[in-house]
Amino acid sequence: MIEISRHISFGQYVDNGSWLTRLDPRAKILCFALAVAAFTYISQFAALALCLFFCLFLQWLSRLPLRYVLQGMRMFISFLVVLYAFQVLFYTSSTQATSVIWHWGVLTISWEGLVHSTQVDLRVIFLYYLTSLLMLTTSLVDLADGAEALLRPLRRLGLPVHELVMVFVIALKFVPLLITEVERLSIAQATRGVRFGRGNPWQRIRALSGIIVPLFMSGLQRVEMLSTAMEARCYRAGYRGWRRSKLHALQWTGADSLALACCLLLCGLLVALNLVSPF
Amino acid sequence: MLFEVKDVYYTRMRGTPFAVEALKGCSLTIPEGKITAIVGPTQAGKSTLLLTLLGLFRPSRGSVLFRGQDIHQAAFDLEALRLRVGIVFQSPEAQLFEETVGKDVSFGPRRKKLSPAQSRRLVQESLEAVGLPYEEFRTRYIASLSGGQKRRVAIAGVLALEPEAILFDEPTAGLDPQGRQELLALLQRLKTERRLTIVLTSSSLADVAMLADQVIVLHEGRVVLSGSPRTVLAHAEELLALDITLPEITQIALGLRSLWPALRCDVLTLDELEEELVRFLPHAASQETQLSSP
Repeated sequence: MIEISRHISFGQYVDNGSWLTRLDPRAKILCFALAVAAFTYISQFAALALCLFFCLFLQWLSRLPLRYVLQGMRMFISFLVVLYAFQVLFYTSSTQATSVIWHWGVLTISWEGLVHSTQVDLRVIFLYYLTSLLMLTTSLVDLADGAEALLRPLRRLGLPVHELVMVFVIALKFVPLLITEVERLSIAQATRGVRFGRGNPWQRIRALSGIIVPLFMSGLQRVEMLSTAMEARCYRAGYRGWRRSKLHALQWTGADSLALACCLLLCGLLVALNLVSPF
Repeated sequence: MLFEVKDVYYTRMRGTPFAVEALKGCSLTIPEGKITAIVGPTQAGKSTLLLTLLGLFRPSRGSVLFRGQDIHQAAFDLEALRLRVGIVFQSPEAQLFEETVGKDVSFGPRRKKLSPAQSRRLVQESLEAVGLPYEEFRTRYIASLSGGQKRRVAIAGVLALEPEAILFDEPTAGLDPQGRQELLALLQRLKTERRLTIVLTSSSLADVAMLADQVIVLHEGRVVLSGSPRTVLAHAEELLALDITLPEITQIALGLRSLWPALRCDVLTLDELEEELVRFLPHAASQETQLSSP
């Protein structure tokens, strides 16, 4: 409980100078969007196996400790396990006759249900992995700049792109901040006799509930401080005639084109494999 | 011995790319009823050490004993330890979590399930011990207090637990000279009037040399020097190399060493320095009498 940030890697950026961190954020976001689309489309085990190889390759490129990345997924996976149980038990197929293994009231375990739920959950795990890897290898400033550059055409339609991206980035940035805040509060309360992670579930929830209200209070205070700090530096997003300049201009290099090409190739392969594969 | 730390290793953010080895084979003892100062440059592991003493961090190797009992044994009641040994963090913001002063200071007594009358008495005593009038501050919002007042409320919150010992993490950081003097006087008072064991950390010996009974110098997670302030100050040059601020008098003595290399530098007061100088300038004493005689 005391060292929560050790176990949550979501939203964390690890600047280890790997090939993935050095890619242009625009390339990374495009590749990410393509891969997400392809991963969502596929529904066969052969294609899922290719996804696994692709993820392993990315993991190798990122040079991040595998344990660290998996540790960050632990909470998500335990949530997914519960979901999996529900999916299997309540699976109903309208098109084909199902081969029932076990049946009790409305609850059914069928062969098709198992296969289908496994495929869906594997896909979700891969998608979660891609998302966390994007966050782990891209700084928030890069992510914002990349997203803004890619969404720029939408400005013609009157969408406030810069503001939307800014809101999104600040929201993301607050995740690790809130985690440190929970850590601070739990240490402060533990030193005055509150015990976390012990006792029956009711006692555990009671101990946690004492953190929620101060967490909101300090979160709101932080928001206020941030807005003051932004105003003090003359931040004005949509102001007519003002254009923010960038400290680091984005540069598209050969490596970025290569990454994009590889990603397109992979997506093509996945779709083809999914159509051809018998299982 | 109140605490015994035996060969403790601890890595912060273990298993992540941000891992930092904070304690590397740290061994020390903290005697009861005394003021112990843990001095060291930034990143020496001082704050980690304090949190390890309370069992908030579990060492990866080595053990922490409280009155001879290992605090990480299953039979040991850590919660009771934390009610008997309080801690005041470096920034009061890290400590205060309730809305009003009264609610925050009474958090400990309420956790101990004391009666309202008892808890009220404790809150009043604690607030007055740190110099905040009870009636005036009881209902004040924490957010409306100044930095120095917040620090006092944090200390009052710990005093309300009626602890046997209090650990202070950099208590004088960010205070003006007067606030610093007041705080050090408060620590001295807590020791003499309430017989509390006090442990404080600092990156400077200037504040703690006159106050502490024992000084432990920490560097890169290990104890490099320990003993009475005088014993430690005798190694003034090593301390300077570690970026530890020395008391002014010691600095002067160290500067005078270029004239008299054998000059002792473990001096704490101006009188001691004078005595020491007289040893090297035998005629200076007679000169002084000459000056004062006519």
